[in-house]
Amino acid sequence: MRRYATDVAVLARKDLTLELRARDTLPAMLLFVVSALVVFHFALPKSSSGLAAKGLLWVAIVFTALVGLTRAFVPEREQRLIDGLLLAPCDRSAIWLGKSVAVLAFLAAAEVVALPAYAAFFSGIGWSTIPTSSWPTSGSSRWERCSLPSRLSAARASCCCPCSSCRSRSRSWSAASAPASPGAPRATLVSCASTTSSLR
Amino acid sequence: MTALAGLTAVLLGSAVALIFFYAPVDEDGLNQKIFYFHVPIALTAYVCFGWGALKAFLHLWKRVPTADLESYVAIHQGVIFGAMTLVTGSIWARFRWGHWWVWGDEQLVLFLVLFLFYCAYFMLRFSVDAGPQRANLCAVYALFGVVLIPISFLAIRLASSYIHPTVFTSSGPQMATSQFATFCVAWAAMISLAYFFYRFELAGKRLAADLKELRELLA
Repeated sequence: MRRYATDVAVLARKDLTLELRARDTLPAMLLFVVSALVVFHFALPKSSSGLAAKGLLWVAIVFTALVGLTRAFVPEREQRLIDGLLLAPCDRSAIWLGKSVAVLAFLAAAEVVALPAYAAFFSGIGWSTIPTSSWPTSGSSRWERCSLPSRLSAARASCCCPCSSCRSRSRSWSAASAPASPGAPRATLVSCASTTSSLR
Repeated sequence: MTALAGLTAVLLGSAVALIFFYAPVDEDGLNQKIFYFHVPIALTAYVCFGWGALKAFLHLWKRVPTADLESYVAIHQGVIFGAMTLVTGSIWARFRWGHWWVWGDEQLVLFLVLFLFYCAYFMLRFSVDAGPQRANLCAVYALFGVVLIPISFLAIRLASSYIHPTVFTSSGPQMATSQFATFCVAWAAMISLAYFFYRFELAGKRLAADLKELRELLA
């Protein structure tokens, strides 16, 4: 259990460090949430209640989370690091949880800007709004965890290895979509490497 | 650069001293003094955006090689000063008129739109890979945005009912000479600060580019 928590912490720290260096996800989320709040002001009729505005705050937070989630796997997909991640000697769900924690941290940082902006643009917020706004936050990260196995299998299916045995094995994985043991991808890639070396 | 830093420090120090010890306390009270910060910062933000647009124009027309980076850095400074304008304006509005933000005022909304427009400039810049295409796209975007600046200047004059106070009317500044002097020093200080940040960031970015080139040569 303690090892699992360490794995999750390491993976989340990796994502946070990458974001600190590249700074591409968080500014996009911040700009999106402020622009959404500005647009929502003009979308609401003049006589609308404060409840409608709070509902639109929820919508803004959920879509901001989606912006963060769609960018969550971009570095892995671009540089084909998903194979390295899958080879890591940790439980597959630790990868999911690490990503969730990182996106949750980005969303919390976006909310630090969004909630005061909401308070300035719409009615004020009380201390009760902050825990209630954490509900869509945690819901978004749970959503991400549901889509993660499909993302992992899709990434694995488009792996760099061209040999057909690799592809057929990855297709059977996506059918199963269960957290496979760490030994399986290692064995597959070793066999892939041996096949490609024999082809040369 | 050191001389520029020294000049900025002197101007800022004298501006703060003038604001707090020389300028008279207005009938609104102490919170009126934030005017000496808010308006110079806003005008400096406009100047930065204008400078960025000028550099963008130079890049597109004369193909000056350094103009793209200078335009980017100028707009970066403009966004920083624009954010400070919004913050200081909100603080002043809260203590003077009791609200943080009011949607009915065109000046506020137009400045917010201008600010968000230039925030999106960075999204555009980071979504395209470095090269001539990115430079052209960003230059065109910066030029589009600069059109909003005179519109936001005019909005406050053309609006029939406004909340944002107008101090500089067509009949001159509506304030005492000592206040105007303090305002001018504060504005000079802010422009100097913006120029110092601009030169500093440009130097840093050029250094980073040189370093990257050296690393690629060594590799």
